[in-house]
Amino acid sequence: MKAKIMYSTVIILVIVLSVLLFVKDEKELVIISSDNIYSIYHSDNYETFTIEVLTNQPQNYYFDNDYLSSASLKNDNQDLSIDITNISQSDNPIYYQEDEFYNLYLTAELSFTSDDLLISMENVFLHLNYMNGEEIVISIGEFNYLFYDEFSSDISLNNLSATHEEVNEINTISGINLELGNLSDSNILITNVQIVSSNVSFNHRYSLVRDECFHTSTVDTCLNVEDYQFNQESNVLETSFILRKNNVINLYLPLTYLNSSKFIYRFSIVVTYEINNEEKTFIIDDFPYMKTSLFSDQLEGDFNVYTYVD
Amino acid sequence: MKKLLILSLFIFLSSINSHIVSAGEYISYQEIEFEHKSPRFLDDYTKAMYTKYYKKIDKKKFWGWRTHTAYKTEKVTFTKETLYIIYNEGETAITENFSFKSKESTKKQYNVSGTITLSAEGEEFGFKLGLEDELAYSITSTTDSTYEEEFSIKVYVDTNTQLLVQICGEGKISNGVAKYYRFWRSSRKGGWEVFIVTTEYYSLRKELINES
Repeated sequence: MKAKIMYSTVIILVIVLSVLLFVKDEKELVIISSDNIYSIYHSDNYETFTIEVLTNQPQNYYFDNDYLSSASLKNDNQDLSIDITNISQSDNPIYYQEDEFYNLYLTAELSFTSDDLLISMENVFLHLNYMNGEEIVISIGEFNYLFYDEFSSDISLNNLSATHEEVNEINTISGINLELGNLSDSNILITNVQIVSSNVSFNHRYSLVRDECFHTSTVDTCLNVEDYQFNQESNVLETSFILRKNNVINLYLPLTYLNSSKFIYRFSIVVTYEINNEEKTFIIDDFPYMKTSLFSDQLEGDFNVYTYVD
Repeated sequence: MKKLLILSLFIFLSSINSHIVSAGEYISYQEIEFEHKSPRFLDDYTKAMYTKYYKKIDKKKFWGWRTHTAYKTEKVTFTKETLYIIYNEGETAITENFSFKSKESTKKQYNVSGTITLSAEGEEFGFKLGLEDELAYSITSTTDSTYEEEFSIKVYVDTNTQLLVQICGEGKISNGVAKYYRFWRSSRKGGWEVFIVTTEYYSLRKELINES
């Protein structure tokens, strides 16, 4: 009798273990984001922006637009509804901690327009809501979006380029070469030049008129200073560059990274100026001065890793 | 016996019927140079280098690749040609809203020498006979990746002026040699090179048309 019980137990154990062996492990879904600074100018009604994340399961229904019911950008104070218009993925995998991941690009647009509005949000999370009531929340960083309809005919944009170097061990934009032309018959006073961002700005204590600085030159070289501090806030909030009639001006504008901001690759610029005692604005559309991966080794320590188990 | 002959003939024909695919566009960049002095591009390998590297993969194999990596993910800087131009030869200034895509640069690019060949099937582009799988350890050890992106900018273009976008950048080059063995005999051998763009820098420039 004892032997029968023992044999039965062994057989049951073998069956259970065999079943367990053949049951496929459910692979957990991993989504990785890297906080970025979005600085967008609404140049027309087709304006879109792209939020990039990594995932180990690009085919998961979370990334199928048909299952999405709504999407929004939120922080503690603001809630901005967005439309995800397209979701696409990279062809080639990249590797994070030896696991295979794919870039996922969520193309989005705002669901409203304005002719004069600046949306400025820090510590923003992308909320994706699904038909089945589930929600995914992903940190994306700082989000800035500028609506401004008036187009200046007094100033022309001639040359636009950037210098870059490692700031706090991350390769990023260090300064901007900006050549503006005066198309009017009056002198123009440039009173401010600013980046559409809360945490990255031009340091006007050091902004100067000079020839274009080569893109690999350091800010120290461009400004002819020693040990320029990228994280120091400037107390000079305005400029007073004179752009003479029918003339051009070449500016070099070094960047300041405040709070926890570490890099910026693409941004919009607002130039404020006075002409004939009237204050006007000239907008430079968001330009990708630098294009690189948000998921480089240098940024790995700051990745936001989200794991979901079905 | 007849079947064996036909099979042998098929293998022989398949090995000589190589579809010619040209190397990546990085070969024709305006400027491309290594950050450090010692690495070389595949096109600059000397006979002595080939001899030295082939010796490292002499051990015969029943079937498949033997590879040697001479330079692994070496940093290069480059200057590409102008990406986009607007001409205004008219008599009045124009406001242009232009956009462009940087597509080719986002992908890996390849170069080969000897009897190693490249293939282009559909959107897939790379070495033939699965050579890249053998090299994966040396060329995909980075998390760097760039992607296709479209952007637009509204600019004012004066008369007799052209607007152009210039691209400089950084990438990584890996290269070396490989031999493909069939029945312990080397049927193909040559050099391989992979180029990956890691960062691109864009600049917008306006010039008088008669200046260029």
